[in-house]
Amino acid sequence: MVTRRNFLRNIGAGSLALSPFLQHLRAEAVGGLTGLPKRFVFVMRGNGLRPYGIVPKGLEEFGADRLKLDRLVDRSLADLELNESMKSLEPFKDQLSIIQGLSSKICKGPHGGHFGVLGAYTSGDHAPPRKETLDATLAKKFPGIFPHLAFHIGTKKDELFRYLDISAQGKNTRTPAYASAMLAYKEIFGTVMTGDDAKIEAVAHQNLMDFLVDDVKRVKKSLNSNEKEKLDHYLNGFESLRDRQVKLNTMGDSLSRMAPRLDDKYTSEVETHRLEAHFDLAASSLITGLTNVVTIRADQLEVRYQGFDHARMKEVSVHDIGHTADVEGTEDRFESNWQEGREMRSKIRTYQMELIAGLAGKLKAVPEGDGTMLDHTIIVFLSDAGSQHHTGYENMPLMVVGNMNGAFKTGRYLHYPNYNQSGHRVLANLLMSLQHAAGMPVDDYGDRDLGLSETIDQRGPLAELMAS
Amino acid sequence: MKYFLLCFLSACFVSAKDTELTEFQERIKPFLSEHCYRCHGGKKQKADFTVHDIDGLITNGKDVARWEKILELVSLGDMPPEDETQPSKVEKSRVQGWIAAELAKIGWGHDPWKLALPHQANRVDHDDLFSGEFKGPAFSPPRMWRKSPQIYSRFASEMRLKLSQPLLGLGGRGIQDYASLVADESTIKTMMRNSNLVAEHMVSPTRSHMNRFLNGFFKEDAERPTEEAIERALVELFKQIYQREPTAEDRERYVAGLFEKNRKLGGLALGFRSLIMGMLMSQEFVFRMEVGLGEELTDGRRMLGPLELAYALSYALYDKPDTELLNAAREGRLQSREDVAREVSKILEKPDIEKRYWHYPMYHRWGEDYYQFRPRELRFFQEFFGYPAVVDVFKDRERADFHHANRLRKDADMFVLGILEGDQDVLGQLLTSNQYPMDYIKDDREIRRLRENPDERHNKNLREQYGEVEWAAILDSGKWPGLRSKHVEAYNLDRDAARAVRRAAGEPIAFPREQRAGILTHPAWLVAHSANTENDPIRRGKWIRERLLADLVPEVPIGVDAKVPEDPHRTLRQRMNVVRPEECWRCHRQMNPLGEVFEAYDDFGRFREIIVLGDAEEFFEKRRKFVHDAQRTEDELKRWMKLDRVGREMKVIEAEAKLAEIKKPEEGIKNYPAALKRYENDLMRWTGERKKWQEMTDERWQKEVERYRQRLSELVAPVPEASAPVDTSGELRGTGNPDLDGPVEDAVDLVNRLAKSERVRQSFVRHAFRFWMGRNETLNDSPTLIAADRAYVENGGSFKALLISLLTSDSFLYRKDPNSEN
Repeated sequence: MVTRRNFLRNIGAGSLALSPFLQHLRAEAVGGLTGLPKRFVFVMRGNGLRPYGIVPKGLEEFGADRLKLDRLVDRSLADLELNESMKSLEPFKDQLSIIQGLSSKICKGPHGGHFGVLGAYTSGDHAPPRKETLDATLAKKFPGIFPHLAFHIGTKKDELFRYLDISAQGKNTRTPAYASAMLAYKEIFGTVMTGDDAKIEAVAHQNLMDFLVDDVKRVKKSLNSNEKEKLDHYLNGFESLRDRQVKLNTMGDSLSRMAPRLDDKYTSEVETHRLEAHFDLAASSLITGLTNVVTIRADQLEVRYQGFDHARMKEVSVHDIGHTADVEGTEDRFESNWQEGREMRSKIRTYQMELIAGLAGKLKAVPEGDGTMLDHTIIVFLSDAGSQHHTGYENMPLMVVGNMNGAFKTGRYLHYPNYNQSGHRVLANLLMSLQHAAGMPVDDYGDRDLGLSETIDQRGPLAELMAS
Repeated sequence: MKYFLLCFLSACFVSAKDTELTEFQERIKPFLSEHCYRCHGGKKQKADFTVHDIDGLITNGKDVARWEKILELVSLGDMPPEDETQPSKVEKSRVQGWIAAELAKIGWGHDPWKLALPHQANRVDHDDLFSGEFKGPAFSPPRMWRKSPQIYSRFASEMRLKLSQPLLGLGGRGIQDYASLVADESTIKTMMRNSNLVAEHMVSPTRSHMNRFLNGFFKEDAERPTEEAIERALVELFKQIYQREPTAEDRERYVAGLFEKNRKLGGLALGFRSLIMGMLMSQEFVFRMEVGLGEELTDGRRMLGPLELAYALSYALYDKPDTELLNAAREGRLQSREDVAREVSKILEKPDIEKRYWHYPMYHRWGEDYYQFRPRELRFFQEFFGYPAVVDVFKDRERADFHHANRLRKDADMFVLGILEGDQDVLGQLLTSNQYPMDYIKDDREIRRLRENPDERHNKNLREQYGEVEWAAILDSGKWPGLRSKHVEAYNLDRDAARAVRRAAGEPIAFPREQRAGILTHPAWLVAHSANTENDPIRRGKWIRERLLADLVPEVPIGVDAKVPEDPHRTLRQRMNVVRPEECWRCHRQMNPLGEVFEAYDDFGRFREIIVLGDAEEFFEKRRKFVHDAQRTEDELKRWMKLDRVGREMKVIEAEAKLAEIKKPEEGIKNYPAALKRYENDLMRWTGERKKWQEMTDERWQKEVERYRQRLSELVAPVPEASAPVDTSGELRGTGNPDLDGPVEDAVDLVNRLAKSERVRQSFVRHAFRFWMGRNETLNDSPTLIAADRAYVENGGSFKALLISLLTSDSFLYRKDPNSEN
């Protein structure tokens, strides 16, 4: 049996320097410390999360589009069987919450609310973020060496980085995300340095960074405010790189010990392989304590899923899939039947659920405090396009894994009343619930949906979700 | 709860940000009541939208969504509708100003970043811009313009290294390189990796081609460098990367502050490596500085200094700093407007492309490698017309095997370049010329080789293939039998017809005037503006509205989930009726009547007189496939007849050798399913090949050909009901010229009218302005635009004249902070 002490002894054995988190764990195992870090993982998909694809068996009636519900539905998942596409999550059923009926009409854009989904503010197509999003806020509250790790599925094999369109570090600053899993591996786990040469390199690098920071600061004086802001982006980039390197250099080889195994999928041309690698990297970075907040852009409209054994999916993009009908009795502009549209969506959704289950499983295997790492983690899965490809943001179906040490009452299916019906709540309420769970009791977050009548409570967390 | 809400509201909104209510009562409310209430008041509520009950207190946030909508529709001129009395410009701008200012107080309204996007510049009233009322003075703000991806690629290619691109354009379709772009952490990370690679190469003694940047320094002197040698190398680095010699300040910052520090730490190589990396990531390398270092005028504007000018002009015309311009600046020949005019004319007089081998950027044209000196001019037309997107539109191979996006794109490039070479009535010709050049790289190379070396081995091969032919006579007659490009089918040429019209010199082919006119009927443009399986009249209409008519179409309303219904028995135009209800048609009216005239072309760009529906489509596809297969079989028969017994046995041996080479992939390798598929394909192909050469006889071949002919004749033509005549009618509105506005017959009629329109020409000038200034025009730039337009017209439609006018304008030459007092 793996006990906490055994586990820590094993991973600590022989390592020259432990990561800050492992040091912290070891101290906790020996003497006991309070205040374990809290971890958050946001998995965002495109194309909408279809309601029929997440409702448990027996509750199919709640999977209809544009359901007019005037009361709250609150069912325990214990006596229900999960949806076919969520089978992989059966072992975590007691930690699972499936939530429907939250609206987010402050979001704009026909294909997704962009930064507005996690930031609870209006954000137009192609416009830069107006302010920081919740994942970035949490990352600042629980910083790791990589305060905020983000991944993007990418569309090409040799794509390195991508700016996320759903996550922002602040005004006009998008969160950069790794598209290349190989690059992410190298930067997160490949920087272990030993020996004199490495030390000289490190100092030389430091000198270079100092020079570059100074180089930008020097010209800033002679510019007006707009141009200064432009340079600030450049300057902040250098500064954060400089600081990170210093911290990584102190971590020794405990990193390489905990790094995921490097294999074909890190350089694969197949999107699904890269996505698997992203989830592996996320798990390892969370376990080593390199980061506490991860955002994963699991897919986006221009992605083409070539890895699935499905002839049509090799040809069409996620966007095209969004335009295929998936409900009986509707037609689309492609020559396809609704069953095929449903099948394609289901393949993607099931796969993403499996990845999430895999991540949860890995965290559950690591003991921490009185329980496991999963007990101090929350994984949120949703789509920035709400419930369908062209969305109206009236229903943002989502799934939460984890209860953050009992902060959430989990193992439930919650369906809130329809837009503007009494008892209706908005997505911002869920974001506030997450902040409450993180120990940041915020009761007012983001823009207010002014289309809602005043009787609808847009403040505070979701009372039904919170344990107390 | 209510108490909380009240507290929140009072804390956030009311205290510091009260709405200017007197203005509302005095101006805005009367405006709404005069222009809006009749349709959106208590009695009638068109489109479920009312304004009679709107809350004038914008900042209390209740009716923000409605106010935003009013602002958008009034500023786009969408409301009040055309057939109603229109408010005066002053009135309109006052209302807009008030709403925008009030919305801005609570963080709503127009997003400034979005307003800076190129297509949003159409918000500036077109008539005002060209009225001559606004006298400027024109200037650009002092700015740091992040370099374009192409400048970086150009640098990488000179390094002869494959570097990943750290800089990205604006994205989407349209102008990509804009001064509002930024560089941040992800840019830096990629750049750091790149510059590390470059530096490693430069200081490595083994990679000789990189050493030229350090004058072979590490090759010769690495063992025992003298201080003079180091100094030489330093100066060389500055020359190569910054095109200048190091100044005293540079010596302090770069040399003492970085190079010497790291040299002490880890030796000379480390010192140089850090220095090179530092230079490749400095702001001087990443940004173009345009602050205005020249003398200041009385109105506070400062001209660009000579060196600034040299760089600005370089990047306006090339993707790299131009040595001649830099020399001109250093020698004092680049100080005034006249100097700029002289230098730019000198550059533009030279041909843009020249035959040269193995030089970047290489440009293939009619089978020859050309060097393109000034890629920026062609790039403007590419971004303006948007036809390069032809390669991004996915088309199913099974529907048309002839579709070849890259060749179409190249055809269109050649079309533009040809017209630019003539430099007369450029826009008019681009919109109406029916002479398209076409791309046949392989064949043209063969022609060249035939002409230049008649005895070469390659020619013997050709003779084997075609027999002894009088090549000279064929070349002189302009007919060439070797045409193989299938993509000509997009122009309605079948392969035989293309053989007949083919000219050896690669001259353009004149198409029937009723079929093709200009770039908008070119297959490249049509495909670039089409959907995967059908035409896209909305996109095409929007394009014409925004690029040619200087108008702006409102965005897709939120929550609209309209799908064009699928029905193989109705035409696209019939199915498009879903946008006819009034609430849709109000916007779609601006796009559909323009885009639907292109229904005379299918979604591969082929001209058509009937639209094939349902089963008929299947029939035509089937017949096309049969013709294709029959042709191939005949070709194969010819090849077969040419070989003797030994030749056929050789083919069998070749196939067997191939079969022996093919190995089944092992499970567990990367991409196993794809590799397995490839294996199976290869196996099938070469087994078939072996069988063919082993078992086939002349008679069996003949029979095969007969069989195809027989089956072709059996295919019965479709019943007439299964196809519909093409309806190409449409309507042109918004040229401001009553002679041109009105119903149009077809695409050719439409583009001919567009080509005559003053507004279209001016819209073209506005786009050129955006491309070369890197920003949106304002009313201050009115004199620049008018002068450019006049230069273009007075020089018989010369694009060069237009360009010279833009590059010598105040907007290009002067800098001033728009927020400054003066």
